[in-house]
Amino acid sequence: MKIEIRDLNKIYPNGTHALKNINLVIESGMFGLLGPNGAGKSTLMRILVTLVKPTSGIVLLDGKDIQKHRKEVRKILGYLPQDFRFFTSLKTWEFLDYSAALAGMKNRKERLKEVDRMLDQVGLLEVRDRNANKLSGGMKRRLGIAQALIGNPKLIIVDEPTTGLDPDERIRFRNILSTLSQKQDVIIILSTHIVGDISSTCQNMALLNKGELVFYGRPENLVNEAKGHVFKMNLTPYEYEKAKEEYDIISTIPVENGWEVQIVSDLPPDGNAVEIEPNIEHAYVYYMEHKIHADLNV
Amino acid sequence: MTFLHNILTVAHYEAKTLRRTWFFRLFAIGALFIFTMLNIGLFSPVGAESWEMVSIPSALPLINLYLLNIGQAVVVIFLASDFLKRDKKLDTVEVLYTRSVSNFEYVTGKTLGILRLFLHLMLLF
Repeated sequence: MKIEIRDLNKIYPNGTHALKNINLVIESGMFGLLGPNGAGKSTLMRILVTLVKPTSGIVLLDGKDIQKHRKEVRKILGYLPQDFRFFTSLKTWEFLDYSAALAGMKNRKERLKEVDRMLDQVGLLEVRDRNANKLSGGMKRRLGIAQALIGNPKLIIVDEPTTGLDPDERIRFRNILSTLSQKQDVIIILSTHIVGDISSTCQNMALLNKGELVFYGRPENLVNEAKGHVFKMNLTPYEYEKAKEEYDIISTIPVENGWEVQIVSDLPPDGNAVEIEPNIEHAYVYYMEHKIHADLNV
Repeated sequence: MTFLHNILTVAHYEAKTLRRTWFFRLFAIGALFIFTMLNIGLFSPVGAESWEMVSIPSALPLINLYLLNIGQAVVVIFLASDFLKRDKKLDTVEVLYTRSVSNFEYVTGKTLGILRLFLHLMLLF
């Protein structure tokens, strides 16, 4: 399965240019979409799930225009939107059953079995009879994930899925997605601003900024871009205040007589700086701040 | 058959959701109370029953359904005109829009759900 995005533009009626000439190819496996808030990730997702029409450009799924074949696309689609809080007055299992029925599962007995299996998978079986509106934020998110995955969709699009989940739940969710992405002919598109989610799960990724595609490739390639630009050093409180103005400080750990900091910089900083191996978080900050000069307020 | 399955699914859950709203519950309980009182007043010796009401067997269901329909018509129009607006406030409904359901199936299902629920109310009376 393959998604081709060609010259995609979206301009909202208020004049906001949310997407600018996006060209992307997404193949089977897990694909990450990364970018700061307002980068256009959600707009791209909403176009891919056929909820929003692009102003110009085309999205092809296996060569077919998704806008002209909406029903076919929706048959194989599982979608979790960014906002997923307010439910109709349905119980947890009922909401999932409703989603499963509309996903094409007609046999009630099989559907209910699948509903319970999914609830168990996301750890909500104990609250299956609780009103969905009465679930906690993390539980609602998990229910969202369950409804996106029910019915064995071939195209799974999840927008900020791990927001509001605790570390255990995040790991569990990542593992569910990783397992699914091993299946043949399944595309999973994961949009997030949590950089760690991308590095641990995605084979390919794209970086969006202000509606433009600024990076497209493997997460390792993004990390390679930051090699030689990440440093660790110990600073006194006075030096730390000065460094904050000069460098992008990624992490700060209090140590005896000051701070141990990690810095992203084009040139090695003066003093006791030691170069360290970058991770994707470093790479993201380096790429955004130093390559394309986007202001992340780091 | 998918067409029918989608309509019936939407109708089933629309009826279920509506049945759980306070608006519908108050209407149903209110209608039950008013009609009980009205029946006692119109058809029993407690009230001032007229001979036409008592002697014509169909008078009781006719009057009840006639009056209930007037009330229901107002409520159904109010509910039916509002359901898409109500949906927009519920962000989770968006995921149902991305399912393989046409606009026609969705709106028909919603309408059928509302009508089904009121039909049950009518059967009760």
